[in-house]
Amino acid sequence: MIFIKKNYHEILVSLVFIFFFILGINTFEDYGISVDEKFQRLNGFFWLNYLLEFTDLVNFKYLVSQKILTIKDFSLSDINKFNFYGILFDLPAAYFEIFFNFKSTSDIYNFRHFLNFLYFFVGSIFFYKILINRFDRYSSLLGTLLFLFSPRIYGESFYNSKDIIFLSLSCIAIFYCFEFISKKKITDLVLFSFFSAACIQTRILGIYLPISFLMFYLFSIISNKGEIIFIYKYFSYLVLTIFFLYISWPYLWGNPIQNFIQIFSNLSSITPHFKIFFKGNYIDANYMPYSYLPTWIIISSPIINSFLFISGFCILFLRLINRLITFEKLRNNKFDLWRTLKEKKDLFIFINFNAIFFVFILFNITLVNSWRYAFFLNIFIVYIATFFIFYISRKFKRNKINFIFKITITSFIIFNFYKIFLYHPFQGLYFSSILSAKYKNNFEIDHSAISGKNALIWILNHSEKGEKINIGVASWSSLHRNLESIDEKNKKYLNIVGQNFNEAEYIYTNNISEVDKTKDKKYDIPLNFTEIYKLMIDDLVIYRIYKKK
Amino acid sequence: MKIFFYKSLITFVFIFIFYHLTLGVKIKEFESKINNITSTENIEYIRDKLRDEIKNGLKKENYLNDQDAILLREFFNKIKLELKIK
Repeated sequence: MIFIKKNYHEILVSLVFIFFFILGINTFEDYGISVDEKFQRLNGFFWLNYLLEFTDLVNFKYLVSQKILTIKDFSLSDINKFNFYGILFDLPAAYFEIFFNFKSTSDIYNFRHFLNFLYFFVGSIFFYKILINRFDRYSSLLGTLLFLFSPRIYGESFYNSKDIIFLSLSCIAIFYCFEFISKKKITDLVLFSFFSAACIQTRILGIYLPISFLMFYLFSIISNKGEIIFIYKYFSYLVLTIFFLYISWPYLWGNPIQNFIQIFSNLSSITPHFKIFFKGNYIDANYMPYSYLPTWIIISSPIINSFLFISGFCILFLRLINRLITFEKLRNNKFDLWRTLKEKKDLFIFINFNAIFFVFILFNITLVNSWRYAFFLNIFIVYIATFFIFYISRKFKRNKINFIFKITITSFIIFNFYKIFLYHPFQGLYFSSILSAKYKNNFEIDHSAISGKNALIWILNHSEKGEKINIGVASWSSLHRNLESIDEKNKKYLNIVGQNFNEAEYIYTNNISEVDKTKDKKYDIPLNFTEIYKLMIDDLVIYRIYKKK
Repeated sequence: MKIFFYKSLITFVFIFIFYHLTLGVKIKEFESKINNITSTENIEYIRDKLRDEIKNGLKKENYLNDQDAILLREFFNKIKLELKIK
C-alpha cells in the first residue's frame, strides 16, 4: 500500500514538473526584453573573448569580437569597468548564441529566455528535493507548487538572468548543504563547495552560504565537543569553495584578493541620486526606508504565501526561544539549539532568512526594482510556509481541520495559477490581490521595461504600414533596448527619439522616473498629445501611449 | 562559557534590532529629509517656483488688497516716526 502511495506521489510530482516545463517552453517567446539583458549578453561575450585569448581558435575569436561590436550601444555601461558580474549564465548563453548561429536578435533573446527558464526549472527540482527530505509528501508538493507558481518569480524566471539564476543556484547549494549535514559524504561536500562558489560569483550575497555553514558548525562544537573530529571536512569545504570560486570566475584571475574586496565596496557604495517611486513618493535610492524590503515582499507575494510564511515564522521563532530557555535542563540532548537533524535544517533556514534580512539593512544595500536582489529569499519564505503546512498536518492528523486546511491551500494555489494566466506575459509585475488599485499604482510597476515589446507591437499595429514611426519615451525605462525583441522586417520602421517630444508621433510612458515627477517636468506629456491606449492588468496601469493630435 | 556565548549573541542581536527600529529609523528619516531639501532638484524646483510667483505677481494690477495696504502704510509710518525721534 505504502509502495503504491509513494509511486502515486512520484507520478503526481513528475506530472507537475512536466506541466510546468511545457508551460515554460510554450510561453518563453512572449516575454519582452528586460533592461539588463543587453548588458548581460555583452558580459557573456566579453568573458568569452577573454577566455579565447588562451586558445588558437582564430575564427571563433573573430565571431566573438564581431558580436561585441554589434551589441555595444550608447546606453550600455562600459564593460571594461563593470566586468565583475558572474559568468555562469552569460558565458554559456554567449557560446550557444554562436553555436546555434541565430539570425535575428529576437531569436537570440528568446533563446536566452529559454535558458533562463531552464536554470529556474532545475533549481525548482532541487527545491522540491530539499522539501521532500524534510517534510511529508503532501506538504512538499504543496510547498513546491507555492514556489513554482509565485507569479512574480515565475515571470522573472524568463528574463532575470542574475537574481533568478542566483535563486536557482542557491536551491542546489542548500540541497547539497543539507545532504552533507545529514550524511557527511565527501561528494556532497565537493558539490556544495562548487555551488557555493557559483552562488558567490552570481551575486556576492552568496557569501551567506559559507558563513552560515561554518557558523552552524561552530554551534555544533559549542554544544557537542565530539563534533570537532569533522573539522578537516569543514576546512576542506572552505579551501574547495575558494578554489572553485577562483577557477570559475575569470574576474578574479588578475588580482584575486583586491578584485574580490572591490565587489564588497561596490555593494555598499553610494549609488547616484536617482529617485524611486515608493508608496506614492519619490525617494532617493540611497535613503530608502527600512520598510522597503518587507513591504515589497508582502505586496508582491500571493496572500497565501505571506500568511503561511508569517505563521511558520512565528512557530519557528517560539521554538528557538524555547530551545534557548531549556537547553541547560535537557542534559541528554546532543545539541543545544536543535534536537533532530530536521530541526537543524529548519533553524538553518530560519537564521539565514533573518541574517540576510538584517544584512540588507546593516550594509544599506541599495534596493531598486522591487525586491529583485532579494528574490532568493523566496527559498526561505516558501520553506517556512511549507513548515507551517507540515506543522498543521501533524498537529491535526486524521482530523477534518487538516483536510479543510489542505483544500484551502490548494484552492489558493489554483488562484495563483489563475493570476499567472491573467498577467501573462507580465507576471513579473504581479501585485497581491488584496491591494486596492490606488495602492498598487503607488509603486514602481515596470522598472525592467518588460512591457516595451508589447507597446512597440501595439504602435506598429495601429499606425500606417510602411512609414517610419517616431516614438518618444516619457519614462526612465529603456524602450530603446526593447527594439531588439521586434522582428527585423518591422524594426526598421521604429525610431526611438527619447525625450525629444517635438519629433515624436507617439509617446510611451509608465510610472518609472529617476526624478521627482512632482518637481521635474522632464517627463510631462506635451499638451498637443492625447492618450490613445492604456494597458491595464488587474487594476495595474502597466503603460500608456499618447498620440500627437 | 556556552551560556556566555549564547547570551552575548542574543544580546548583540537584540541591541542591533532595537537600535535600528528606534534610533536607526529616525536617523534615516532625518538624512532623507536633509538630502531632499538640499538636493539640486529641490533647489531648482524652488528657484522655478519663485520665478513663477514673481511672474504671476507682475501680471496682477495690485499686489496688495486695500486692508493690507492700510495696515502696511500705518506700520511704515510708525517706524518712520520712531526713527525721527531717534
